[in-house]
Amino acid sequence: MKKLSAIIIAVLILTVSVIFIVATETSVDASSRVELQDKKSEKESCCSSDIEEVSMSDLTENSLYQLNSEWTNQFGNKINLTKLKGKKQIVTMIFANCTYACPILVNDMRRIEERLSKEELRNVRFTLFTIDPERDTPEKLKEFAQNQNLNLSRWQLLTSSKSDIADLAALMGFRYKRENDGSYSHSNIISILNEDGELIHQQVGLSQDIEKTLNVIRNQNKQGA
Amino acid sequence: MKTLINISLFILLTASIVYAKKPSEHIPDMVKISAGTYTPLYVNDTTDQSEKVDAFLIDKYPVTNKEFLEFVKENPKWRKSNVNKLFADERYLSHWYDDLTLGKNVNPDAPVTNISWFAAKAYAESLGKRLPTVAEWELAAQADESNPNGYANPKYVARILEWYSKPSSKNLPAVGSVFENYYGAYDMHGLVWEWTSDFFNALVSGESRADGGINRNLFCGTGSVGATDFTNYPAFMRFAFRSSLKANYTTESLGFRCAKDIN
Repeated sequence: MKKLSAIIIAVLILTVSVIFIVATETSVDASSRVELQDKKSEKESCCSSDIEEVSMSDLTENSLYQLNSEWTNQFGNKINLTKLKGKKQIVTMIFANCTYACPILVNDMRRIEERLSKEELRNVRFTLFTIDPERDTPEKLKEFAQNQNLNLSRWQLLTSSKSDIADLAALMGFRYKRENDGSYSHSNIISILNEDGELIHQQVGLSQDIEKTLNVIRNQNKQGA
Repeated sequence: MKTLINISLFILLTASIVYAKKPSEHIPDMVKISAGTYTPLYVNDTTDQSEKVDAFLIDKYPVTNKEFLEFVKENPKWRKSNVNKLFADERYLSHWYDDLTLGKNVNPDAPVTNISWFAAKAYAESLGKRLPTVAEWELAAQADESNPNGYANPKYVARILEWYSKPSSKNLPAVGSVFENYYGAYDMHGLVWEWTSDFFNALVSGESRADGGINRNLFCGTGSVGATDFTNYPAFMRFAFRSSLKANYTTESLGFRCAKDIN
């Protein structure tokens, strides 16, 4: 009799522990799934509320805006990368504390700006992405823009997370490395993106002849018109 | 009564062992790499460019085909028929039979290759991890079986070089098959090349870009360039390999493993 009850109790305990294990496992799975869903809806809601017209399906396959990353401009406003769609973008990557190459790169872009007619400029924007998100706050970027006399109706300066910056740099073949003195070694590349955000031309090196770049911008303008 | 207690104790013990073992299937093994200093191969001779690396965790093994298959099941945009070519070129997962089938010739426990930087990064992020930096990877890979600095041992360097000189095999063996280093990480050399988060910091011009020389006009900050260690030929090869990479590039000998900050 004693033996029988012992077996019954043992079976009961076994059942309970199995149920306990299964329940814990599934609850872990379920909670991580809920977490995933939360993350997903968070991402969707932020982007759909932020951008009016551009949806991911409007983007061409080669559009860099497929990254769909979140950026902050020099005024502290959040901007999804897809918002750059619709105008040609002349872009490069900089860090505001840069003493040598970045001012030259920016000046190269300004030389392009000066050579374009008012008509042509209507379809063109100039965008600087920072590679130094730790120090380049929106305020710092605004200050950089002022120091460089950038016309903020045509120029914008954007910062984001390290990871999103790396993604964009990778798509543009822009290489950079932080040095111990806080400066960055980096490629000197100006990239031209068409209205869809596709990379159509790169000007490599500082103080280069801008004729080819101008041609690309103008020809694309004609095609677009 | 005694038997009753014995039996229930036994059951509880078994249950707790079973339970304790389960989660380890969900958290792939990682090992701790102690803090250290990494000196990049090429340095600007005017400033000290050695890099301090905090202690961090790195996967014990490269990520396997089987593990990556789980990831693409959950993330349809990373299936090979769906993936955007900007993020992975046409060879992406080309050794798999189809989107969700590895096929007979693929060892599920072999490291996944034909994988782009974007895909590797997305996989790591899906697990709350990240890719190791070049400095972190190099620090972990410096260790041989018994010493955190294996490069002090010429035999170790020679062994790595021998691995590099072998043609890569189509049929990669399972992870864990090459060697376990001082930290308990397996196959840091000898199985596949591995992606790093900042591979793009290897600054050389080249390919079709302009004049091909390292030039201050092309790369700010690399005006004067010198190598720090001429004896470590394998390190040169890794540097050269990284500088040839593009983020959507995939090849059958390039895989990855993940890293994580401590706490």
